[in-house]
Amino acid sequence: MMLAALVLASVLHAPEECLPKGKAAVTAEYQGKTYGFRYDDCREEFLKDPERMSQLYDALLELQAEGQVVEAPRASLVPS
Amino acid sequence: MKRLAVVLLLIFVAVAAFAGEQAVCAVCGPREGAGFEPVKAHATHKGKAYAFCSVKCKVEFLKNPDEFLVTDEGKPAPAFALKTFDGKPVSLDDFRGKVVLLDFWGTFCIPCVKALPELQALHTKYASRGFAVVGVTVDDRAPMVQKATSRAKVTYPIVQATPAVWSAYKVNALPSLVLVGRDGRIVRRYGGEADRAAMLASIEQALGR
Repeated sequence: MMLAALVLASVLHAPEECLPKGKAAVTAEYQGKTYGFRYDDCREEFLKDPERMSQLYDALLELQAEGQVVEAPRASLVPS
Repeated sequence: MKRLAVVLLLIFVAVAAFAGEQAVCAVCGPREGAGFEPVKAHATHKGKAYAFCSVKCKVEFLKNPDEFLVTDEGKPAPAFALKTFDGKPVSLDDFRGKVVLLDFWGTFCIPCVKALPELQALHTKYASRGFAVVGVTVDDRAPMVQKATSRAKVTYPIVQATPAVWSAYKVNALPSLVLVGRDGRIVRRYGGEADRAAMLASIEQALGR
């Protein structure tokens, strides 16, 4: 079970990696707004919890619009 | 001890900066180091509103809210010795044997300011049963704090937070309330706009009916 979770976690893309570069490969709609993604798993994750994920993608897009570099964290300083 | 804390904090900030980490921001909690900034982003989760000092903090929260909203219920509340804006010392020890509701807030956090009259009402209502509210503000703008508290007719102590206390209480969103029992242990935490009915029930339970 734990192994499956680890494998799944390694397959799923981080939200930062899901943002399309150019044309979106897949899209999802939530509350009248269309969200574009680079990968299928991004869309699937989004649809599991659209209320949370829409806020997350809105925030990432806001950062991108501000010209900030939006990329998945390489390593965390947070102690586990 | 204080000097050691400052040195450790500086080392952490330097490491974070070197690693390309994001804004230093106490509202995001210990993971982001320390240093107080105004609220710049809001999010809702399970019907509650949360405030953050940067959009990056909001992103971190939304990636895994349940992990972000840490719980340490039942653990001893971290000791603190802080000061009011007029220099009066206030420590957690002053409230030993009482039930204390710590309100972590700032004048830049609208829900926090809106909650002040309600918190004052709780403080007044339960004072005779051994209950007190203590406001711990991240704000260092004394006139703003005084304006907000006098408008809400707050009589309970308002102390100025230090990064160490903010971090010790793992405050990673505003408003944030921590209910401490008579035994000095954390009874419950309330993040965002707290469920008032649940909070009242917990206060009643902690006071003993």
